[in-house]
Amino acid sequence: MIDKFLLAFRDIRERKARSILTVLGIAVGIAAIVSLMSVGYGMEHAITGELTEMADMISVMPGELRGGSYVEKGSFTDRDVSDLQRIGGIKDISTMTYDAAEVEYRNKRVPIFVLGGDTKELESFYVEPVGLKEGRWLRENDYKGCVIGDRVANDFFDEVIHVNDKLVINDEKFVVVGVFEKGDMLYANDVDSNIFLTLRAAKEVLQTDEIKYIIVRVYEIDEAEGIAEEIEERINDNHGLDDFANAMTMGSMIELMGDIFMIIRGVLIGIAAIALVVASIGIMNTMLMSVMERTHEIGVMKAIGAKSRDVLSLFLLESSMVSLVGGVIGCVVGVIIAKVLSFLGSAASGLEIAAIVKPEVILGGIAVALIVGVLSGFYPARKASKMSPVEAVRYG
Amino acid sequence: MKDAFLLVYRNIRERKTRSILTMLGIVVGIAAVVAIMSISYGMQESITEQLSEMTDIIMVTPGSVELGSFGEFGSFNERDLRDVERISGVKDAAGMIGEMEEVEYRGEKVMVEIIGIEPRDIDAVFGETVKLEEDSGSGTSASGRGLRENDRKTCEIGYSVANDYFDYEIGVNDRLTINGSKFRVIGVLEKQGGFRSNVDAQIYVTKRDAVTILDNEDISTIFVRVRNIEEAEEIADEIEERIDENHKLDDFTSAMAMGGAIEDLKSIFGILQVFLLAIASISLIVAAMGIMNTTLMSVMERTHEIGVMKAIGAKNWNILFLFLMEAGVVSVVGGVCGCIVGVVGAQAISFGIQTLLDVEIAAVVKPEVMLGGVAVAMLVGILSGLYPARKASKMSPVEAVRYE
Repeated sequence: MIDKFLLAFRDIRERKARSILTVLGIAVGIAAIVSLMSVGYGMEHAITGELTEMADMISVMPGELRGGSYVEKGSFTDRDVSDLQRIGGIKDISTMTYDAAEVEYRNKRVPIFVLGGDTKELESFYVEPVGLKEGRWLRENDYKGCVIGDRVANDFFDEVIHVNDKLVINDEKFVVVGVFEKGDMLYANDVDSNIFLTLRAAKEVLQTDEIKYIIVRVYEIDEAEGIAEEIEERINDNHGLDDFANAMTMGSMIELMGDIFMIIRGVLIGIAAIALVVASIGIMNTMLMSVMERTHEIGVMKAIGAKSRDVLSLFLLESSMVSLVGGVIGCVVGVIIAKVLSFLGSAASGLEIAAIVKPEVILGGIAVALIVGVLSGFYPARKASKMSPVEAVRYG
Repeated sequence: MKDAFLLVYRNIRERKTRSILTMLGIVVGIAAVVAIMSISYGMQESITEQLSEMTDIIMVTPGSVELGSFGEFGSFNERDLRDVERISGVKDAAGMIGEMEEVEYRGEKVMVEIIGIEPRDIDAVFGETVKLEEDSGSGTSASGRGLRENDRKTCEIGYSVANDYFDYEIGVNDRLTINGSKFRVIGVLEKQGGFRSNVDAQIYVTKRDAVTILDNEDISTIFVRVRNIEEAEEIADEIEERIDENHKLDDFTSAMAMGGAIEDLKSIFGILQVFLLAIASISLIVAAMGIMNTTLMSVMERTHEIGVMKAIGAKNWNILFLFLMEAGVVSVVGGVCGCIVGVVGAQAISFGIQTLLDVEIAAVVKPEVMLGGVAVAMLVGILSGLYPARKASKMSPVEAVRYE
C-alpha cells in the first residue's frame, strides 16, 4: 500500500507543470463554492442573527405585506389589547402608534413620520442595533422629549439639528434629547427619517387612540405559533372582519428568511459548481494522458505479475491525490476570499457581514473534491487496467 | 498559411479524446455564461415590458418620499388637480380617491382598498395593460364590461378580490356591500401580479360613488401622463412646487416620474447580471487551465518535431503561430458549441421556471451575447496557449532534435 502511495506521488511529481495546473483547476472550483457558502451564511446571520434574540416576540399588525410594501387596513383598539391580555402564555404586551405629522424647525415645515411606543421595547428594537450618536434615549416620563433619526437631523431641514434644539410637532414643542446614528441597510428605512416619542406624547400629538402595531412577548417560544393564531382570531372577531389582523412570530419570520437565503445559496452554488464540472474534465484529460504515456510501464507491471486491480487502484490513487490536494488548497483560498468579500461587502453596504466558515462546508468541499477526482479518474484507470500486457509492453 | 491550418487540424485530430475533452471544458464554461446572460436579459425584458406602458406617468402622492411606504400625510383637493392640469406638457391628470373600507360578501367581511376614479380617466391611468379578464369559456358573461360615466353603484374588482379574498368566488353581476351600500360587480380585472399586484387587491368605483360611500372628497393620488417623456422630471418638480405652495408646506408632495424608477430597476438588474456572470466565468478560468495543460503536453510530445521544423528553416514566430492556432481553434470550436448548448440550456431553464414557479420568463438570445461568447472563448484560448507556444518557439533546435 505504501509502495503504491510512493509510486503515485512520484508520478505526480514527475509531471510537475501538468499536475499543478490540474490541482489549480480543482482548487479554483472548490474555492468558489467554499467562499460563496461562507459569505452566504455570513449574510444570513447578519440579517437573522439579531432577530434570533427576539424569538419570543410576536408582532401584530393591522394589515398585510403585499408585493413588498405594507398595506394598512385600519388600526387596533384598546379593547383588542385588553382581549389579548386574557390569552394564556403571554408575558408582555406593548403597543405602538405612528403617523405623519407636520414638524417645524426654524420656520421650515416638513411632514415627518412620528412613532410612539413603549420606551423599553423601542430601545431593544432600534437603539440597541443602531446606537445613538448624541444625547440619550427616551425615558418613560419624557413627555416633551424626542429622539430623531440621522436624516431628520441632517437632511430634512436647512440647518443641522442637535441635542437640546427645539422642534414643533403638530404645534407642540419638543426638545431633542438624542440623535440616532445612521442606520445600516436593514434599519435605514425604519430609523433614519423618523422621530421617536413616548407612547403618551405620540397619542397626544397625533390626537389618536389608534394602535398601529402591537408587540407581544410570550413565555414559551414553542407556543408562539398557537398564540399568534389565537391573537388573529380574537382581533378579527372584535372587528367582525376576516384577514384583518396579521400576527407574525419572529420564528416564522426567521424561517421565511432562511428559506429565501437557501434558494439564493442554491442558485449561486449551482453556478459555481459548473467550474467543478470543467475541472473534472481537466482531471480526466490529465489522467488519460498519463495512462497513454505510461502504456509501456503498465505492460511491464502486468508482465511481472501486477493484477488489473493493482493498476486500477494505482491510477485512481493518483487522480484522487491530485484532487484532494486541490480540494484542500481550494478550501484555504476559499476562506481567504470569503473574508475579503465580506470585508468589501460590509464596507459597501454598511451592514456588518462576517464570513461564517462552517466546518461542514470545509469537510464537504474536500469530500466533493475527492469524489470528483475518483469519478473522473475512473474511466482512464479502467482503461489502463484493461490493457493487454503483451500489447502494452510492445508500445513505445 | 493554408499549410499551417492543415497542420493544426491534423494535430488536433490526432489527439482526438484529448481535444474533445479540452473543448468540452470550454463548451461548459461558455454555455453557462450564455445561458445566464440570456435568462437575465429575459427577466429584464419581462419587467420592463410590464412597466414600459408607464414610462410617461408621474405618480403624485401626498407625503414626501422620506415617509417611506407608510407615508401618507394629508391629501390633495380639486384645486391641486386643476393646477396640475394647467402645467404645460401635462397630457392628462387623473385624481383618485382611495381608502380601506369594509366589504361584505355572503356574510363575510374583509377590508379592501376602494378606489374612486372618473371612468374616462381609467384609460389614462392604466393605458392598455390592465384589461378585463378574458372570458373563461363558461360562456355567458365572465368578463363583464368597464365602468361608465353614468354608472351608479357598480364596481370593477381586481383579480385577488374576486378569487382569494372571500370564501366564495365573485363573478360579474354578484352583489357586494361596501361600507353599508350595495354595489353590483360589472367587471373582473385580469390578473396583474408583479409590480402592479396592488391593482389585483382593489375595487374600482366611480368618483361620485366613492365620494358618497367614503364621505370625503380627498384625493389620495394624482396620476399624470406627460406628452414628452424627456420633460417628465421637470414636470414632476413643477407639480411638487405648485401643490406645496397650495398647502403652504415644504416637501409635502412627492411626484415620481416612473421613467426614472424603471431606469433604477434596470441598473439593479445590471448589477445582478454582472455578479452572476462573474461567478459563471470562474468555470472559464478552469477551462483556460485545461487548455494550457493540453497545449503544454502537446508541445512536450512534439519537441522532436519542433526541432526538425526549426532545423529545416522554420522561424520562431512560425512555431509560436502554429501552437497559438491550435489552442485558438480548439477554443473557438468549443465556444461555438458552448453558445448552442447555452441557448438550449437557457430555453430549458426558462421552461423549468415557467412550470415550477408559474412565472413567464422567456430566454432572450441576443446576437451580441453569442458573438461575445465566441470571442471570449477565442481570447481564453489564445491567452492560455501563449505560454506553451512561447516555450515551444524558444526551444533550441539542437536540443529539441536530440529529444527522445
